[in-house]
Amino acid sequence: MLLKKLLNQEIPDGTTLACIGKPGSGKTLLCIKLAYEYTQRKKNVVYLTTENTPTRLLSLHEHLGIRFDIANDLQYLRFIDAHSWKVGAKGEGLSTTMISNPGNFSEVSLAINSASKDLPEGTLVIIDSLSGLMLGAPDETRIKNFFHVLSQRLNQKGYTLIAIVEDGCHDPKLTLGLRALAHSSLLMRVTEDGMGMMNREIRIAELLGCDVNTKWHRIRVTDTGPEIGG
Amino acid sequence: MNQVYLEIRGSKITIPEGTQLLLIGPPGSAKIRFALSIMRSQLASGTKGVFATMTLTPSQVRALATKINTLPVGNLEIIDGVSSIAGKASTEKRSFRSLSELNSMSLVLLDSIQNERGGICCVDSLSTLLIYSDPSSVLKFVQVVSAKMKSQGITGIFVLEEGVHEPELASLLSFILDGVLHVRENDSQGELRYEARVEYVRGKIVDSRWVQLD
Repeated sequence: MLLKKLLNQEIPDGTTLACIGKPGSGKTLLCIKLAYEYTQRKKNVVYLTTENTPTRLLSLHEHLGIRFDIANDLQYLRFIDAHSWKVGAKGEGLSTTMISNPGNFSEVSLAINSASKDLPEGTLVIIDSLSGLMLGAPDETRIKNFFHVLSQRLNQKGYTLIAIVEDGCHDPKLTLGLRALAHSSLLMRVTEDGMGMMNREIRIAELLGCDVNTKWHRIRVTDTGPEIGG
Repeated sequence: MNQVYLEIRGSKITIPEGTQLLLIGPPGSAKIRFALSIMRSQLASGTKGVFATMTLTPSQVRALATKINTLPVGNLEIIDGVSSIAGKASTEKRSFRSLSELNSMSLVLLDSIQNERGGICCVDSLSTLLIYSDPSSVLKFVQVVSAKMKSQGITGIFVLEEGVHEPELASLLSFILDGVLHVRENDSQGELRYEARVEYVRGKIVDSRWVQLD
């Protein structure tokens, strides 16, 4: 279990988490691994992607040790493709819902709604990322409104929501504001040794009713994807 | 997914094909030389290279490419973005008529890689584009052009001057793209030396230590 060192249990159903870190700090890697763990437990995942097509996303992470089994795992994984509009491409397999204008939050809400319709409690919805949606939006402060409504609706259905926010890309007040709307945050950072070798680290903020360890933990990539060390 | 080589001072790393990179470094830090040397290793496999220049003239780029052995090995096309500013007719096959018309620029750029599969394309530089257009238009330009190149398996290198723009903008660009190459200058006993590193590439664990450029 990926978050064992941080949370000592599964993420409670009906929770909203913001996953915040600079570009390249490993947020997507973490979320793909969480998605993988959910499908292993036969729980459903809805994954919205703004920076890669679903196929490329899976293929990139296969190289990092996260291998979804097409026959068994992928039936629990539904993608919302908010990337392909840029090249005018139609969607691909992988039971994909398409978004043609990520800056239109009504369209995004409807897409999430239709992709997650009929899924049971305990479903995980991942938005990778809110920053990607904001890029196309005429007024990025409306994202707070969207995020608030979305998290309330999903949480009430017993769904868990994880939303990625790129740190350093927005007004710090907006990033904090989004963090304030979530139950807790997964914070990611990159540290460097004297030679310039970079290490990725993660910590979790307070989460109501859970016994959390809020220390920074190193992330290592093994043959089976990322692991959070001591 | 196929992997392609990225060669940095003799050491080869593999990256997923279609990776879009941001190349940042302070002004005058040998970024163009570094970009051309990276292009060399990919051009050697016989694929096409495109270099869109908005600061150096095409002949300056060619001279530099020849000097560092990029040119003779392959098919390098230069898109001329400077002649129009100087009021001259370009002698290149493709050129940008105006640096403020991002739409027509993206069409010229995409035309140069139409039907290509693999290869490498360098845009030098986003900082020049930001003189003529507002940041949100440039971001959209990068989004569309990089997504197209990614879908065709073409490696992209987008050059950005470090310290010239708002830090938020550099972060947004690195977020849109798949990885960051960083060049820095190092004042060593009164002499400037240049160092480079791969900070990260999506889908790849990289060695991010600094290496000295020639």
